[in-house]
Amino acid sequence: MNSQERDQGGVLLDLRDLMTRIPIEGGGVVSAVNGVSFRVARGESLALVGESGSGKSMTALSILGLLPGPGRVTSGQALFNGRDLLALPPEAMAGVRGREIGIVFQDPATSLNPVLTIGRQLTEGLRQHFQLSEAARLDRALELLALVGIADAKDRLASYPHEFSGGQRQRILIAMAVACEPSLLIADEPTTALDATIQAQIVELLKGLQRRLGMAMLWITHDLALVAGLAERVAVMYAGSIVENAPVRDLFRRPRHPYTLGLLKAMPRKDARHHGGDRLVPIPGSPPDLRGQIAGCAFAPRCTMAVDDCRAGRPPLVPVGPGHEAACFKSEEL
Amino acid sequence: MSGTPLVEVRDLSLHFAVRHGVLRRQAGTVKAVDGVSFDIAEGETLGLVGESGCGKSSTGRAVLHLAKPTAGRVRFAGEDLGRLSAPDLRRARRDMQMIFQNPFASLNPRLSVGAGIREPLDIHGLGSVSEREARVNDLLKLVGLDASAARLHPHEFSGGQRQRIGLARALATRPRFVVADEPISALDVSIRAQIVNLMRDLKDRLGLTYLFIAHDLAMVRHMSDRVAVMYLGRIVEIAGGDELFDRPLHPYTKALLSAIPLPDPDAAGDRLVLEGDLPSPSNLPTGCRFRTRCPIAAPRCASEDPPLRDLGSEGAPHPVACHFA
Repeated sequence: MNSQERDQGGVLLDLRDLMTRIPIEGGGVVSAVNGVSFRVARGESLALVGESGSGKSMTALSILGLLPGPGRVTSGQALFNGRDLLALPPEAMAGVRGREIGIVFQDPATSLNPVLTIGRQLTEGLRQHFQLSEAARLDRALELLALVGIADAKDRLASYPHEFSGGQRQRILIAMAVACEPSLLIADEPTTALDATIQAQIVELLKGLQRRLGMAMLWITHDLALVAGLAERVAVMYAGSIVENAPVRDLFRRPRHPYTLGLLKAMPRKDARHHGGDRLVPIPGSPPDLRGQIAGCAFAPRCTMAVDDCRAGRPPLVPVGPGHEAACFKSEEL
Repeated sequence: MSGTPLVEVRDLSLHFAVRHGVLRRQAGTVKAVDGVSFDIAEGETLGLVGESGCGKSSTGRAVLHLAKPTAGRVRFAGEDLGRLSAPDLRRARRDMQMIFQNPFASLNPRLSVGAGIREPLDIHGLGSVSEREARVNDLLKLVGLDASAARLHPHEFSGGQRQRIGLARALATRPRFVVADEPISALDVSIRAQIVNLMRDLKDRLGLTYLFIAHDLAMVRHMSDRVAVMYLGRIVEIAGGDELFDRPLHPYTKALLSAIPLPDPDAAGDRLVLEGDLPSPSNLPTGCRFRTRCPIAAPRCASEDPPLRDLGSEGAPHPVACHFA
């Protein structure tokens, strides 16, 4: 451990004030990420939750140096083991991705190369990052397939992606992501394309792997209910900013941002007798257009608690309890 | 349920031929829907749940005869849809409409929203030109949109607004029965509740009957009077919403309910996680179709296909297709 790492204590990833802008055709710029900061401790699982367009995936892609096309990080730092990933040259970043940070994306169908065998794709990362013999690589590939619960691993190494089901392909992608034993796994909607019973399998698999390998995890998802059972800490994003960041129990027990509260109220609860009875409480309106400048709190136009202050200036993310931050002027009233 | 049901489905099947090679020889059959029966009473919402490929959307299409059933019968308001002539079926369609997951796909991008909503009225020749215009305005209001929306085009609307437009179009001909195929799946969480509430209000105001197809079990419970669970082309269990969620009897229903993530960090404890994947609907297991993933499967399950047996109480039927329920 070098001195910088000791200064960081248990912090593995320290994201500071990330701003990402995406120019769009015909002029104009989308402010996809607007000053996002969070920390992930070693071995910790943080869920980044938000609806489509909230900036959660763009935040992850910014950290990974994988922004699409014209997208650019305009400011901020992503200190990973004390090293700023955003300042790394592309070759150095390629050495971090797959080796120190594993990645699992949403769609197992398009993330695998259809013309290469599973064995070849599983050992790709090992080939890139380690000096291993062919035999050692194969052994490791078998170990990985067994680790993610693919039966008859030996016979399946020569198979192609189309010979596996969606759930199995996601298992293979997870095996690839953890092949080099990364200290951080970033999973972007890893179960969204899967059916309920398969989703439950993949969630259990990832939780088990996280414990066994001692990895930290950054889960990116739109599904607040899913998060309740898998993350230790949750950061809720809205319109490119984090509006609340809290230990998972505190977030569900006592949300301190009206958007988080609104999301919880908009969900039917299994324990409640909603059927034919209570109505859901929707959040009125729709999310803002991020092409323009937003004065004040981005949620204010949909917020039932908004006052003039909310429309005048943007509320900062401030501590509201132990390990609990919220970006709302009226947070104390919640 | 007393009286004649509005929708009566008996032994409905929808099979597709799987063809291979240049000669398009039939290599197998996908039994998307395979002997499904249920009733829906007037004013009732029947939820239909299951995982992708279980045949729930195909069931919805076959019920409306948008896909011609391979076997079985659908009676709508007492009329056997399979025996209607083409013009009579078209007339019957006014009373039965469908809304889709992606409302954009059912709206012509070149037509204004007003013209898109008016289209079913034009097709069925309902009302004079001015009456149709007035009806479009009423429909927009009914689904919570401003009358000015009529002049805009579908791409100018958000996902939630588009689903409102899809609903307005579906309701144009004043149907009695609406098949809603995953109407909220593509919407963000904060918008879903808006559409669900709207659908419930419309049902109350217009006396609609719904077949609500979805994979989001919590929303299905919220919407439905009764819920049917499908697995590989078959219904494995049907019961009243609360009964099904409180007392699931089929091992698949139990696993499916257990797989729903709950918005409560302390409730996520012991989950019943199924092993394995769904078998292919073109190569079904013998006997009970669920046996390959079932935690309580026995030898009998491989040889004997369990029929639906009513395990409910007086006045509250609860059919289940399991030897050991």
